[in-house]
Amino acid sequence: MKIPLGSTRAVTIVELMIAVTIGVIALGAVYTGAMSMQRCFAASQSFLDDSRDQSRLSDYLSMDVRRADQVAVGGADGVMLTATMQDYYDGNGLPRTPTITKYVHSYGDPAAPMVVKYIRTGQFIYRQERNDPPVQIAADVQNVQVNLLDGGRSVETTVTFLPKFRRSGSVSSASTTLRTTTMVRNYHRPTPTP
Amino acid sequence: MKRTLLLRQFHRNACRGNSMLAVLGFIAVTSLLFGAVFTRSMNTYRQVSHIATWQESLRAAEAGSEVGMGELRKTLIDPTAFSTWSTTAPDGTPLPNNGRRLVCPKLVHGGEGNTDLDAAVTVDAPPELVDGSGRQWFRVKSVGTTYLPGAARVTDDKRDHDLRHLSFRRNPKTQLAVSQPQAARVVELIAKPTSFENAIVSDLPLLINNYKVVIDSYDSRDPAKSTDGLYDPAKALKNGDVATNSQLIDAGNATINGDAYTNNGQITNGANISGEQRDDFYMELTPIPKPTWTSYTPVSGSGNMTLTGGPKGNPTRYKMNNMSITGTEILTFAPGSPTGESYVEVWVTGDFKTAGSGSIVVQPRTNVEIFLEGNVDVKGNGSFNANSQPGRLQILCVQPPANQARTMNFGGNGVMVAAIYGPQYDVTFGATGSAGTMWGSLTGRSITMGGTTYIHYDEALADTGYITDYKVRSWFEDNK
Repeated sequence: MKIPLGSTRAVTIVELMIAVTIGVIALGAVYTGAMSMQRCFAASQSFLDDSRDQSRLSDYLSMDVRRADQVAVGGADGVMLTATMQDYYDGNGLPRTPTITKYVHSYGDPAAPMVVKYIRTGQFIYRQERNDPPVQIAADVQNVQVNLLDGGRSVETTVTFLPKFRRSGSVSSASTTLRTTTMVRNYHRPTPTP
Repeated sequence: MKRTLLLRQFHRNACRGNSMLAVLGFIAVTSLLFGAVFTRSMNTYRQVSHIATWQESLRAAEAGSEVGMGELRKTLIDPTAFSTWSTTAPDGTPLPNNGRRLVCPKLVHGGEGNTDLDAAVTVDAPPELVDGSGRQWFRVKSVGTTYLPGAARVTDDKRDHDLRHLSFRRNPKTQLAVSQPQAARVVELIAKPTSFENAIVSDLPLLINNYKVVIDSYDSRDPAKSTDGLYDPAKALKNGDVATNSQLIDAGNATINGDAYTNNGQITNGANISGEQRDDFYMELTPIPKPTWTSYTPVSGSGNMTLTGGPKGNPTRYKMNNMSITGTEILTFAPGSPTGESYVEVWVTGDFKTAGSGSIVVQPRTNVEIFLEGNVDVKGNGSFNANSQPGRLQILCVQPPANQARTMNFGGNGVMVAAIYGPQYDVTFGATGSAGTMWGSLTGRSITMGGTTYIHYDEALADTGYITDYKVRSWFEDNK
């Protein structure tokens, strides 16, 4: 028995070109979609990273302001806030037992309180305890405003972040602003003088 | 022919295999993409959950500290306070400094992420926290714990670990194993016993009414702020604060050398208030419980008499039906020993009345607390604890039975050097006096003033008087 020659199927050059064209179009679409996804992914990641930095900065600030005895705004060398608080920890980093002198309590030496500074350098914010090396706690910061409210009883902070969105080689941006108000719980009004 | 058929079959199978490979490849690539997105999304979700859970643990710690403060304040009116608290640590060892510990009932809420809040609070009395008056301050330490949802996976930013110190297997502070991933925050408070912190306090409206009223302050402990422990106009201070839990102070254009506080209210005629005028005041006026003494000396409450005191730990106690000082009668309180301070406690089940030039004399080194159940009516030109400190004569008005009103009326031109605490008493200063003077502090349910009255608040009372409350003096979050 003979097998007819025409029974073995193949593709013509036209079919091949059509298939390649469709394939290229499909791959192009996939590539474009993938790149869009990648850009979107990177942008959202940048946004989330900044959101996390916002939360960290806000949480640090709130914690230090809450436990401070006194808060000062501004200062040289980019200092935006200085929180002065009791020296709660001893030399080994363990909590001290508070003491009272007459009618005033203290942790450690009242003349040597713990000072925490928040320093802005460019788009970075650093936190510094005592004279320890500053630790970077946030990046991509566009603007920071710190205000004392109600005679120093509370602190309002407004921090604007600048997540980056890259597109066609250029960088566009959309800022996000976080505003917090925190009470200085250990605030004691200075005694008025006669 | 058989060979050709086999070739055809092989060719068909090969085509099928290519399609399958292509599909598998597509699925693999899609899965990788999806997996990457899913992993990153889960990481982000976990981070957000960790942050929210850590923030919520502060609320748990604060709730615990509030429970501790509440129980501490309860000691002022209820001897059973702390009776249900443990005296041992979780490992069974006795708590130091007479400590008490409570694991609060779990707080549960709905929603996504963490839903449980636990708090354990310890209240103790370190010997280092005894002030210049010998009063014990307390330390309240609360640990709030919340639970991290999802698997025990660490997020990828060390800076977050430095701040939040989350516990996945072990608590980084105590090194003890934890049953499930959690966030814990520690809050430490110092609670100070407080007494008479303001010149005048009322629960209901405070009506000063008269521009001839003058209120200022001094400090009998400090020679720079008093002379021989007495008020000196040349050394007067501006801490004569007036406050109300109500929404109204009519300052009457009186001279108030201090601040004025309402509870979300208004201050009228306050042109002569030297300090701040605020509307964020509220202070619960703790009632004075009725004495439950079983040992005391019954005495008549009228006529000339001298009552002597005892040592601080065992004050001499007297009980009388009424305290009535009229005409030229003098009630004298004297020390019970030639040296040291003496203490007298008097329980008056009825009224306290004075008239004429009847007086109370509190001799040096003597401290008097009068627990009063009835009304107060002070008239005439008598002097009460004159040339002394108001902390040495404290009139503490006992909480009356429900639905019974009490009054406290001041008239005449006498001198009252005392700390008076009557949060259920309606206080009235008569309009007829021309030079009534009070050194000390006054607390009433409502206060209405009339004639010329000078009130000099002794700031020492805040640290030395009868304890009416505990207040948070220091707040600290332990974050190491």
